[in-house]
Amino acid sequence: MTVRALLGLVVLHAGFLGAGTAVLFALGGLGYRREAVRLAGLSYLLGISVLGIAWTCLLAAGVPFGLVTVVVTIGLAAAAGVVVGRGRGLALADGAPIVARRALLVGAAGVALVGLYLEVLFRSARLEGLYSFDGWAFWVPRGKAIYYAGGFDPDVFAAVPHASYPPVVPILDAAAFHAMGSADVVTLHVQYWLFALGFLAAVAGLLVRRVPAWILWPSVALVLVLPRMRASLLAAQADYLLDYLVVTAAILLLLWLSERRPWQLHAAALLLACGAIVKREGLVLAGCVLAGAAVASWRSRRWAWPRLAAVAAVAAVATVPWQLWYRAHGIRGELGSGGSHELFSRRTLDSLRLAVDVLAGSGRWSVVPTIGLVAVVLAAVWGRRSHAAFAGVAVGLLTLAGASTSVVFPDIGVTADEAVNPIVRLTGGTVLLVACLTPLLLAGVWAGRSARYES
Amino acid sequence: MRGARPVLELLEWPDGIRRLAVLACVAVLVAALAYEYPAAFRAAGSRAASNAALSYADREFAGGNAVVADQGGLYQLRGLVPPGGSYSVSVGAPAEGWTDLTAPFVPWFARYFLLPRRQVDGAPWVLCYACDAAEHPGFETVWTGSDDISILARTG
Repeated sequence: MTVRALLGLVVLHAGFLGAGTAVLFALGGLGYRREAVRLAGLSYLLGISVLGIAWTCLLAAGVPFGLVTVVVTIGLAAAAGVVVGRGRGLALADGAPIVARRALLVGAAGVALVGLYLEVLFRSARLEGLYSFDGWAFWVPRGKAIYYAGGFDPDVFAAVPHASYPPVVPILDAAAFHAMGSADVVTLHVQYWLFALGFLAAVAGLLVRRVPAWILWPSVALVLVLPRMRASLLAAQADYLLDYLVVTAAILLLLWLSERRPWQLHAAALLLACGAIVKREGLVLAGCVLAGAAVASWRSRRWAWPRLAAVAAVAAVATVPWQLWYRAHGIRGELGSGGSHELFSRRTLDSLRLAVDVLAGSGRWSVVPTIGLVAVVLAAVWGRRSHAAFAGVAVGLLTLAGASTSVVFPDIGVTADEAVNPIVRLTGGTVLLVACLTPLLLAGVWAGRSARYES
Repeated sequence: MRGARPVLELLEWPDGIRRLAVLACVAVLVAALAYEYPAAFRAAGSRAASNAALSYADREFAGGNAVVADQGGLYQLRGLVPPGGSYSVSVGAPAEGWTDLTAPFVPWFARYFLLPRRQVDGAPWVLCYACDAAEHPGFETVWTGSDDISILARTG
């Protein structure tokens, strides 16, 4: 909780941003210099994804993880992005289309509203203790173990609960400890604040030229202050980072289906690949949004489906280094023990009912799921049906995935008690997706089916 | 009447109604934002103030305050066991001052709090939570705190 620790953390995350900007340039996502600012949030998440994947591979291969490794890999990722981009003949042009003045004013009001809340949240984050049970029970101890041992420590990793959980968040925590100069678990919460900031910037940056500001900002600002979000946004756990990656990837996939720009698909693949090694349900969530994209692209399935299958393959392959490492060290994966007996039992119905109840509960999510449902229906009637299909299928599958937890793992009670069942945390990702797709759905309805939005 | 025209257009089927539906959705989102934002802002401000008011120890223990009872045991052990050294945790019957979480989870919290010190069986240091000293022959008590917490060290 010192200025030096804060500065170190800021420099580390500036490194994520720099590396991610270079990666986005290499993918062909930046045409203008100003776009680097607009898409800074996406670049930041890409930087985390690329480095998260690279660091997982390096640590699984036994490469020592210290400050030198952190700095060198960030530098290499940035340099590789620039070299690949230049090699592809890409360059950044000056200038970019300026948005209308009225939209600028509404956007400024939205940024101010979100910024004010983030400021007070930052003051809380920089002195926040480690309260979350999962945080001190296994997420942060694994990060401390990597920091102190300079790599995956088999003894500590095997001793903590959920030993086979994917390692990206502990690696990012260890990188933060190196940047801060100590295992400062208090200032570490600023890292989770930065994740949230980067995600909001990514969503706003991707949608700001495709959605009118007066439709975009109420939804973006509301998601930040939802009762459930404000209670857990700073928790030193992997849930929100996974949600940020999957939701941003879902937006990119939706845009790709409409605009067919390859960089959107490639960026989504990187985000989903990192999500797969952030939490073990990362692959399931990736499958849900890819299934939504597959249904939405039914009419162009010969073109879209092989590419979507390739994204799924990339996400699956990203899990291999970690799986090889933990299996080689005698750590067993956690597979559910539920079988067909549980699947066709009353428990399945109860789990489904619980998942729907949690999603519909306005006490946690305010009006977001309700307005999201209305937006899907409106989009199906008057807007872009492919967008409605994507959102409907993805949200439906995510809800089913949440419900399946207590079916696959019969020892988990069918209850919304967070100490027993992760359904509330899982539903958080679904609500985040709904909140971020709603502006796009409503913008499509506002413009009408014949209109094309600016890309 | 010219000013009323945009409003009347919103009642035309289907384009007006389509846009009216979007306006209604956004209005509900804005109303929800107006309701949630002040509460969230106050809660975050209040949390920032209470975080700032915590002692260094309470901030460092945070969730552990619901587990460890007397903070002194872990602090003392952190001073006694060198980084890279090892210790074990021995827990007996719950004592006064403990919470329901103390007995089952104090080994977990100690593992997190004391890293890079290792929690292993047969270590030269024992964090004793109401443990039976007779179960640790060759050890002597080197520190005693409140809530029936002590530290044993191997002699010789």
